[in-house]
Amino acid sequence: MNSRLSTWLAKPTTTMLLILAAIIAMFAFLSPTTFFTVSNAQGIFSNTAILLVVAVGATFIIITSGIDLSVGSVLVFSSVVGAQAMAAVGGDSLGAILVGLLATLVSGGAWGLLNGVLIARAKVPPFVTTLGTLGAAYGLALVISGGVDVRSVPGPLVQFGNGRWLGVPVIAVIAAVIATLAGLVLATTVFGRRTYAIGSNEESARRAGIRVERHLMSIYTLAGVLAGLGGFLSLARFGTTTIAGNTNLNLQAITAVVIGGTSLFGGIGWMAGTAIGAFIPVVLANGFIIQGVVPYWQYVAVGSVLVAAVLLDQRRRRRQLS
Amino acid sequence: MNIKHLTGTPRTALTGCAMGVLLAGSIGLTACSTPVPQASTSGSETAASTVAKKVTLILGTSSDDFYKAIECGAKLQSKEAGADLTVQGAGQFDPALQVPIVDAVVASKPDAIVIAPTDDTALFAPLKAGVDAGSKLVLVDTTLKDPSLAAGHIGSDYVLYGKQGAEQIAKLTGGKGSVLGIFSPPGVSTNDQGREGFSKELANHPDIKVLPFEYSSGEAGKSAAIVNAALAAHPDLVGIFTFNGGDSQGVVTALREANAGSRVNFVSGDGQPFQVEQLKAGLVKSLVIQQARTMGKLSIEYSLNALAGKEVPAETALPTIVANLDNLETPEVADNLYRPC
Repeated sequence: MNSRLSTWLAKPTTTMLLILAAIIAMFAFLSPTTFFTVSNAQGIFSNTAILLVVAVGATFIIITSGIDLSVGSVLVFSSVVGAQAMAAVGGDSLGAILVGLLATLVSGGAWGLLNGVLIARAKVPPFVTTLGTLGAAYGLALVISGGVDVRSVPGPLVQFGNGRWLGVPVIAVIAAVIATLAGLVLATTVFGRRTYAIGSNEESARRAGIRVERHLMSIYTLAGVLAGLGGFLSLARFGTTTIAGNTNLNLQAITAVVIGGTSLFGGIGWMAGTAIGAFIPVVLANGFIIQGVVPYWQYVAVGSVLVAAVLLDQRRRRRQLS
Repeated sequence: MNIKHLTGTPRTALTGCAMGVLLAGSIGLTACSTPVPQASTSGSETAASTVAKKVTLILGTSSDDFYKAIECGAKLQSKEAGADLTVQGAGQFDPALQVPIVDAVVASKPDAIVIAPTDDTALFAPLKAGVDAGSKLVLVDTTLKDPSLAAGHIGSDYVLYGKQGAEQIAKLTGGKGSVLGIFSPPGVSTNDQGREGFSKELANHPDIKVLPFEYSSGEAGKSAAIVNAALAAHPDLVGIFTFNGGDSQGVVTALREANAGSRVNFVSGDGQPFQVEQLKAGLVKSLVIQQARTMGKLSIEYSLNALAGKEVPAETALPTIVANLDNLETPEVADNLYRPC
């Protein structure tokens, strides 16, 4: 019992969970009738959903000690492609909506595959590759859309995007399901184990027989598909593409993953941590606004939590080595 | 738990908890330092006349001089009327950033919300939640596709905005030559109306050739590139009008690089501080400014009227004002230049 508890407490994810609980408790204490309400919780879940979907992909990548800066642009690109596909099919039917879904997933996956090929086969470092695709995807999104947001999203899809299932926003349910599935894959499958192995020591993994290049390509493609799904959910939620937006989504996703306890240096990470890490900045922002605090403090707070998370990771690594 | 075990990993956990408590404490301190009277009940029921009305103003962006001018007007009117004003805004003009702010503001249950929506569609559902929860809504600057949700909308007469810009260009160019207009891409209602007014006015001057519109939303780099290309493609370019003040820096730069400042007459919308400097330096010939401070003042007046059950006009379109070196010091112009209080 003692050692189980110790092991559980040892996980940085646990620390972050406690920090999240402390933040919620503090805001609930300060604003009991406004922060700690069902409708506010629903808002927080809605506002975390798309970030979580994208952060799931980022988790796999960061565990392999890679990075993906292109997620925001890929999301915008796939939302433009999806919206135009649905407009081309026309009408409000389920068929049109499914075409849109397919279009977003495929276009996102295509960018992810491009990232993967450049990183795994051409050996271009992930930072540089995804920095390049960040620009390219955004530029192509502007080319395809003419710089104008596509606003004709089928009504039923928008209703779906703003709907609730048993009181929980639908997009949050979808994000939770994806995060859970991905977490299970990461923790229990060979695919997950290979991800950790590659992150821990890529050369050893290769010599142990793992097809590293193929695995990396599949991970970046997965991240692209998830960014595409994020684009679809964004269309469903807002009823329009938001071409000028999502410029910081890449950093938000990385922040969520790192706050959650995943190491930027690879080999260690938990999906549950990513979920917690996605909530912390959203809850902080929400709480600050309800308090009437100048919004800029939230950036200070999130930055502090991020640094604290990395420091914890460093301490743990040093102890592991000694 | 054996205390001797408190080394290594459990100690890290406790350190983490300590950090968490510190973080939570700092949040608490920050919150305590800003005096925000929390509405303990629904707000508008009990002793309505003695409790100050809580109004939250959500700007399009938090760091834009135009919105700062609106904020100034709102602050002045709130002080006069005895309302409790909170101001929020995202760092960028992005609905994905503004929606979470609206959600949080709605949760804080203000008596009234004044907002410059960054998208006419995406903001509808979150604002409707606020109206359903009992807050009065006033739209300022931009509007929603379905503005019936709000008690009223205060904007500028954007058709007049474009018309005045065109009038200035026609006057300065003597009614001849090629003229370029730079606006936000179609879909931004303010700019769409501006383009309409601009085109209609220039149709009265048959010797002016209106070049195809170029699109930029206040991005200096983009507008510079647009003007570079236009100067190269159209040697008879004599006039440029930018709807968005943010584009003027790019235009001035491009004109200077091509040494075309004397040949091309530049008129810009908006009156940000750097634009006023450009006006004084002769780099721009006139500015078409919106009555930003008045917008802010009226938004508070209307929200308080709506809360008191008084009538509020559904649409208010404030006329824009042409500012040039002659009238820069007059109160009508000086008060409405874009700057914080």
